[in-house]
Amino acid sequence: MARKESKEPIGGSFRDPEGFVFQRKGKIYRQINQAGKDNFNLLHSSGLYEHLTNNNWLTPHSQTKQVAAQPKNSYKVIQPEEIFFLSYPYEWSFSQLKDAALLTLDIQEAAIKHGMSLKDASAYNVQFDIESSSPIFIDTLSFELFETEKPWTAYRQFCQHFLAPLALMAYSDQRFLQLMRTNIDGIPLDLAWKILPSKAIFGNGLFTHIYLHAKAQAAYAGSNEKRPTRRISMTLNQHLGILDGLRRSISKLNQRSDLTEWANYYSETNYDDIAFKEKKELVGKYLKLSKAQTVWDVGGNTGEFSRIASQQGLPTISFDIDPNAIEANYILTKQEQSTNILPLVLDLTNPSPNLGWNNEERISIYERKSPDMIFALALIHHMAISNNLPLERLASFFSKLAPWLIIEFVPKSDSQVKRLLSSRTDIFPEYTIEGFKRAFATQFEIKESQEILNSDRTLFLMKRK
Amino acid sequence: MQEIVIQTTELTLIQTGHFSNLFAYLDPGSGSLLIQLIIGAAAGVAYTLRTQIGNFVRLISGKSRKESEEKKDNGEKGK
Repeated sequence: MARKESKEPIGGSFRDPEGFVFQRKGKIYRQINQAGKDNFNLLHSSGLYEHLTNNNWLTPHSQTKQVAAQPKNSYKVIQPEEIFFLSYPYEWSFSQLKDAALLTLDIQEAAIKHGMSLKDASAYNVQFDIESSSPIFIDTLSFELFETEKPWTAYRQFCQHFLAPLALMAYSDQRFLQLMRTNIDGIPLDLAWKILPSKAIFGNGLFTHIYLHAKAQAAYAGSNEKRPTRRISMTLNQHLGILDGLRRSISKLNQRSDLTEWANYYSETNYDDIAFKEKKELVGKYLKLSKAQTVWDVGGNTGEFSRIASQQGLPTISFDIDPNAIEANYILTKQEQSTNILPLVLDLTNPSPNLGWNNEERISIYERKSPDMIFALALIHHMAISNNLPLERLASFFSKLAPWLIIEFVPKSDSQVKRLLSSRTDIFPEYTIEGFKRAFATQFEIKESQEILNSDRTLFLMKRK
Repeated sequence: MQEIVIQTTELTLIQTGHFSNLFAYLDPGSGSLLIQLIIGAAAGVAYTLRTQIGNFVRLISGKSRKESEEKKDNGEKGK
């Protein structure tokens, strides 16, 4: 479901007095206000825009004759090249956030060399280009005139949005990235320091950029002492030195290598090679029959089946609940230079909600671009049995997401389901293939189905009624 | 060791309130600006030295700055 058309700024863009993003007839535009005129013109005249877009670091934009959404303040309206699917930091894996951080530093360094500076360093200003699997900066209005003597205004935001979550993930646990959900402007540095283990103290510049930084924030917050008589003054090399230090800190942070439930799923499943091959061929065949153009693979693990769609040239979002599986998927995507695949973390039982001011700054996962096809492979038993979700509700849920569904039914005789039921009472009398078909027939028409060779599982192609 | 000495000095400056009359009028983000002045002094020197050493190494090895930066980029990001 796309967001409704509005003359009002969409997302979090209302915060910037220099302009905002709005939507008209399904297209995204950015209004540059009079207040942003000088910086916008400098972005072009300095050569920075050309440098950034030539490197695929910044989304290019074109001039348009569209009428401004708020003409009173408008200088001009531009049309940015659209991102296929918006994603947020709490949906990324470690390396996705790390690449986004390094891109932000690269951009700030390039900006300084062109006489400009990032006025904010929000992780939400970075998106992933599904065609190149690379991060790309999307906020054309984040650049301002660089004044050498002044400290970098976005330094705090960079540390809260990038360094703190990366340090927590590297030294403690990847799941700490979910703190980005509850802290709309990044993880507070004092909180990060409280959580970080003692071994993080003298490594990677974290003592300086997180601990001392948090101390300084606390020392000067809310103070109403009289104005200072000495001027703040920095040199160019000090700016570049801080950037260099941040880059070194972030480059040295690495993902913890703990094994999790899904990252080694394929080596533990009861599929043999023949069954696995047949399942892949069937998924490919059903996908072609549907003529779907876009795919969400929910429960995509490391993207084995997502790649069937992406290799057919279909933009595919490969979701999984496990950040390690998404990390493995992203690393593979980069190594193979895969196109048309975007791995993202998603817990279907607690999906990304609307967040921020008026619940409108960050959009819920289901209000973003919907797909034509859902893959729900080796998933139904986790939803129905582990999470007690009735089959009818699952059918209704999938039918709202997309017109097509490829779904695998995993019966109670399957070893994975036996494992799930081994520690609990079987309260799922309806969980049979007949019960499954009955429940899904309320929403879908079964177009194809086939038992998968050498397994107890059945694959279905369904079309929404 | 050098890093620890620098960090200890910075900590002392903050904890003793050496800068307490500076920038106090600024908004709550003023601590984030102030800390850059402190770490910038050390980072600037380190950066200058590293750049000079890098230039010297490149001079000896005969590699251009562009080649070195390309090698660094490929190694770090692998985009």
